[in-house]
Amino acid sequence: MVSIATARIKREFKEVVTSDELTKCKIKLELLNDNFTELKGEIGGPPDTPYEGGTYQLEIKIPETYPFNPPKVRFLTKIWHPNISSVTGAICLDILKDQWAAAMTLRTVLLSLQALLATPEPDDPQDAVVANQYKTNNKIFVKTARHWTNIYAGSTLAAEPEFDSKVKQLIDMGFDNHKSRVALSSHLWNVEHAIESLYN
Amino acid sequence: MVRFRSELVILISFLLTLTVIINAFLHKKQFYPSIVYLTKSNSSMAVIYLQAFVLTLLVGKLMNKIFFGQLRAIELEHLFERSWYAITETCLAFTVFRDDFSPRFVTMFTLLLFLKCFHWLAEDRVEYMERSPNITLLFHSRIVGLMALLMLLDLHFVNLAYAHTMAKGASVQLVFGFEYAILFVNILSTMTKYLLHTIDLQNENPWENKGIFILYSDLILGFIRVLLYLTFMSLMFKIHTFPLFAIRPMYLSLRSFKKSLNDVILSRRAIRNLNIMYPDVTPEQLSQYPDTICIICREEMTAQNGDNSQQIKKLPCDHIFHKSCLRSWFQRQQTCPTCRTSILRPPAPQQQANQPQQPPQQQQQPETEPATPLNNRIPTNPNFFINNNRNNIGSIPSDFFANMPGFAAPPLPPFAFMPPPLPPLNLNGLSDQDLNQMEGNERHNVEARIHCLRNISTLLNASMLQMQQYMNICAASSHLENLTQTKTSIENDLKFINIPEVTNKPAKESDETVTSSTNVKQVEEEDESDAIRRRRLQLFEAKSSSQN
Repeated sequence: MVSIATARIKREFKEVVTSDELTKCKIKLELLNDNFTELKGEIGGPPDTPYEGGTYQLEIKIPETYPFNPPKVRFLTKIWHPNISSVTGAICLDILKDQWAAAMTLRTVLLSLQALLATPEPDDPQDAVVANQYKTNNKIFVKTARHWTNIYAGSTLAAEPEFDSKVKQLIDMGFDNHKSRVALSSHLWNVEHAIESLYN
Repeated sequence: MVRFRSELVILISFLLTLTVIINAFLHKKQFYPSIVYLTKSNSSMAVIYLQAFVLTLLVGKLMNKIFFGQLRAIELEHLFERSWYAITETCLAFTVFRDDFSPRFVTMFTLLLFLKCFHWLAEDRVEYMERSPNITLLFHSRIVGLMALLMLLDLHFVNLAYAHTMAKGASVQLVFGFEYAILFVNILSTMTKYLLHTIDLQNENPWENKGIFILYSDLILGFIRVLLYLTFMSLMFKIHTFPLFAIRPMYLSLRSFKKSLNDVILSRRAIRNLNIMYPDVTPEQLSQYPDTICIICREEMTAQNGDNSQQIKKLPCDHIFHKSCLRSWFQRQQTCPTCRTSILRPPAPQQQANQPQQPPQQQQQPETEPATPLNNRIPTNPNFFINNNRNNIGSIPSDFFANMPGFAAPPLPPFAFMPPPLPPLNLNGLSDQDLNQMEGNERHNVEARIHCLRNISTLLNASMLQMQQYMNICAASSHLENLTQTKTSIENDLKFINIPEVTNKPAKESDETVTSSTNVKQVEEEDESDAIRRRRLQLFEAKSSSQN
């Protein structure tokens, strides 16, 4: 049986791979299995955002009912963003939930996610800690997001050296690299608060 | 590491059981005394319970190996999540039945939990079946075998519980009976899904009606589930106490039933709209569209008259799709796939005029519809106005109103004038000619509206007058009432005054007789006591004089 889903994904895959608009926007799509149900996406961080220079891996799962139900997408690369969980990579975006329309494609989904990176929506957060930081302490949020881009998304742009030294401080105390970075990020890079939360 | 540890636990429990049993036999030498010894000793019973638990786990593993093979990560995750809920609910149930708490009872609950786990796993497996491309024969035989076994077990336990309740009256068995009945319904729904998927897999082409079948089977089984829970709740409430542990599953089943009911209603309405309201696109019309790719399946649309599978439909927002694709989409959402215009609201008057059939939404119209001054058919449904204002919000608010019984179009009073139609909101798809025509209509409509408003104001004035008259009448009548009241009270007073006060005996028939008669009695009593006192005094005087 050739379902609509498989046929459509085949076309969409071709569309993304051959389009040159998408190489400009740094969007890639890759098949993970032969039956077009699991794909790997990749988007580049949009310019003039803290995510600039990073590349983000996405896990895309196509349900059998596609295109009537949205594809399931989550970030594999760790990211500091109000609408993306810093733990699981789950995305809070209306078009991936109830606002999905059959007219959308993998290409539009990837472009929308890129747009989401450029325009966070802190009032409809997925990660409450990040959203709160975004609203109350935007400077630190931008720095943290840039730091994460540097560490996890392979950006070569200016990192935050003082953040690195703080993380190193915690690693020397015997904490896990990622855990200490999360703790510091969630506590406005206050070392004492971070240590306290790690001990609890 | 974990594997090693669990094997160690199994080994230890076996060894412990063995030592306990050997110990008992060494002490008592014979079979019956050693059994009695075992059951009387708490520590050896504890060891045996542990052994039973381990055995249950082992059987579970064995069944898992037979029916599932390797569990997927997501299945394990679901299993753990659901078993936590089930365990907390079981603990709650224990508090309700603490009187019947016994090892047997715990065993029954463990068994229930054990079977529940397999129901969940079967459900997950069938869901997985939708997504996996090639289903082996092994998969089929495993799932069919498992479902058959679970069904038989469920039926058996329901039967057992029924027999027990009939023989000995209501007890904990009632809970088990209902639990197994609900599990049976669950496995039935899994079974229908499995059958539908299998039929779908056998077909070469995607099966259009599968979605509809799934919707309806969900609806029916959801209804049965809700019914079961409601009976269970009311029975429990009568016999024991409020079954707190059943609240969560009942709420969940109620919610899912409501959702499936809503889905069925909305999708039915949308598909009916699709079938009767939206025009087919002919080859000539199709050639006018620059883009002839169906946005749903991304296939080129080629107009072929008569071929049902390739029929092309045009929505009110002027977007065209394959009919079969649209049908599948409407089963899930009732909006245009391209622009999200809700298709559940009645179309704007322009399209309506082109369409001879009566749109389904208007079937709720009151039958006493008066003649209107306009040529266009005018929607009387109040939803019409709501929907036009909320065009972009989506279909949910409109059907909320439509589904509520109180919101069905109220029968209008015979003198009311129909409000004229509002213009369609989406002007993009209209040609210049259409726009001109609409402009003409617009003026006509504005005039009609003014006329309508004038009528309303006269009606309001008339009703104001009536109200005033009514108020006057009210005031006058209340004045009259007051007069009559004072008159009667004066008459009563007069009666009072006219009564001659010659005797204490009651001579009146009025209400005062009661009070006056009691007064008289009191007076008489006083007289009597006076007489007695007087007599005593006389006696006393007589006595004292005789003593003197």
